[in-house]
Amino acid sequence: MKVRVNDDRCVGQGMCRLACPEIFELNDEDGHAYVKMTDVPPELEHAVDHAVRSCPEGAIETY
Amino acid sequence: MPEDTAQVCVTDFDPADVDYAGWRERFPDLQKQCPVFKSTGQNGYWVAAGYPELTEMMRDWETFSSAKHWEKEGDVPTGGNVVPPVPARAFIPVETDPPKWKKYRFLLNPFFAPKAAKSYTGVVTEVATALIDRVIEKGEVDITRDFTNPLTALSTLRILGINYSEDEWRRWSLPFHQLAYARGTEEFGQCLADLEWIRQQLSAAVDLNWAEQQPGLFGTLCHANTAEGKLSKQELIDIGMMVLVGGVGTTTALFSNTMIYLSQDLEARQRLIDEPELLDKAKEEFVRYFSPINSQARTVTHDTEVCGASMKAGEQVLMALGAANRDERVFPDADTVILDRMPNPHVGFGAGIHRCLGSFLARVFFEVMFREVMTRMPDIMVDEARVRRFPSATSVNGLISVPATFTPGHKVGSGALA
Ligand code: HEM
Ligand code: SF4
Repeated sequence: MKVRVNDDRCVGQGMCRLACPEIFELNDEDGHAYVKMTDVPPELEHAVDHAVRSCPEGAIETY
Repeated sequence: MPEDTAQVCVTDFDPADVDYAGWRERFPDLQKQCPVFKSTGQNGYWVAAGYPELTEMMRDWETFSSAKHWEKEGDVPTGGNVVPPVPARAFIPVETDPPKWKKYRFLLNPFFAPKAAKSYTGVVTEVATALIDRVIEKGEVDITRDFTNPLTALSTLRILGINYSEDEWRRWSLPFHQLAYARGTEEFGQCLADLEWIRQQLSAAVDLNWAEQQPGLFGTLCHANTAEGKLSKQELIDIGMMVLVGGVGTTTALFSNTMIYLSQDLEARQRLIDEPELLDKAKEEFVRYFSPINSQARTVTHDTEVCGASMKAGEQVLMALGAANRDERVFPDADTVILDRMPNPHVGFGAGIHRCLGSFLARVFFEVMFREVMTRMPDIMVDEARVRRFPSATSVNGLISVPATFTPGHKVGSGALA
């Protein structure tokens, strides 16, 4: 599983980092999210799924 | 919602009516029948109550505008965040649309991003310590009026770098609380007069900063360069007011409601004390469950259809965040507080471009308040019989007064606030 944040949709809600801090970090300019790694290790897939479903903007995509 | 089941409900339930009580019970019922409905209250307006419908509409700022139009006494107000529109200046950035919105929001973002917000923890703790020192020996506190309202207002002033004197702390904080509930009461006249006084103080602060830049966010804004040059005095005052209005009533409503809840559910309270790492998720759950801002309005810019509802340009739509946050399609057991709820895509801080600027600061406020109260007044209990709620479901789900008692303790400082 790979993951990315669609910055056109992200408004910096920060719920992704709460769900999976290992993958998601928020930048210091506007609080928008970025991923620290695109390849999701199997043990984090569950947490990334929670992040996807916690983002009110639908900004997180797995592929 | 599938097309073929789409239908438009019309109801006389008027969430924007200041006299209406019992919205908590009515909203979920209506929402189940219709995620988007029409209220015949006021002059008639739409209400978006379903989660997927509301989030989609809030993201579409081009169709659902926040812009407020009112210049001077005598003008008919249109747009803005309240149903019906009120004759007052627009709050910026919240009652503006892009491109204007972008100019202000991008300027403010770095000062409220996660790292900046965290850096204010020390300032907030100082104010919290002083406020607790003022009541700790009495064993009695009004959580709303003597703690969270002044804490948020005075901390914000310190972050802005605006000086206030010891004997004026109440005047700097209380009006932001009264603004949310006192309309139509005797208190309101005083509240408006105090807000005007605060505007004058901010105006003087602009002059001071223009003469010589002072430390703090306000000084930085006074000298900031935007694409159109420096901000005008009026813009600076409006931004200062917005940052104060945005953070005070909301955070006060959140913490006051939470303390009432934690005086009833002692098991939840104990869990939060035993497992402090739970607090991050619990904070979000309280924001969802209490939805301190339970609605915000938008105005339709061109005829459109949502869920079978034909909306016409110029009509207002109330985005019922509090209802969307209880949508069972997204939040199983929506009417229950689940401290570690996950996933939790709540819209308590809004959705789309206007999503709360101060959400990370609000989280800092909450953390400090919870920690200080639980450390220094561990047995605090709200006296429910004396709690006074706002008279209605206006846009803020708040409390006028939340008296509580605890075993008296000792001061750690002088209690000075300035
Ligand atoms: C628990 C506390 C808070 C809650 C529940 C809350 C909620 C909200 C909501 C729902 C919105 C969106 C309004 C809309 O879409 O029309 C918003 C916007 C805003 N909030 Fe907060 N807020 C809180 C704390 C704060 C704090 C501490 C500040 C201080 C800086 C703040 C400043 C703002 C500003 C400036 C906006 C407008 C943003 C824009 O238009 O781009 N809020 N807030
Ligand atoms: S939860 Fe969504 S909107 Fe929020 S920071 Fe993460 S990706 Fe962005």
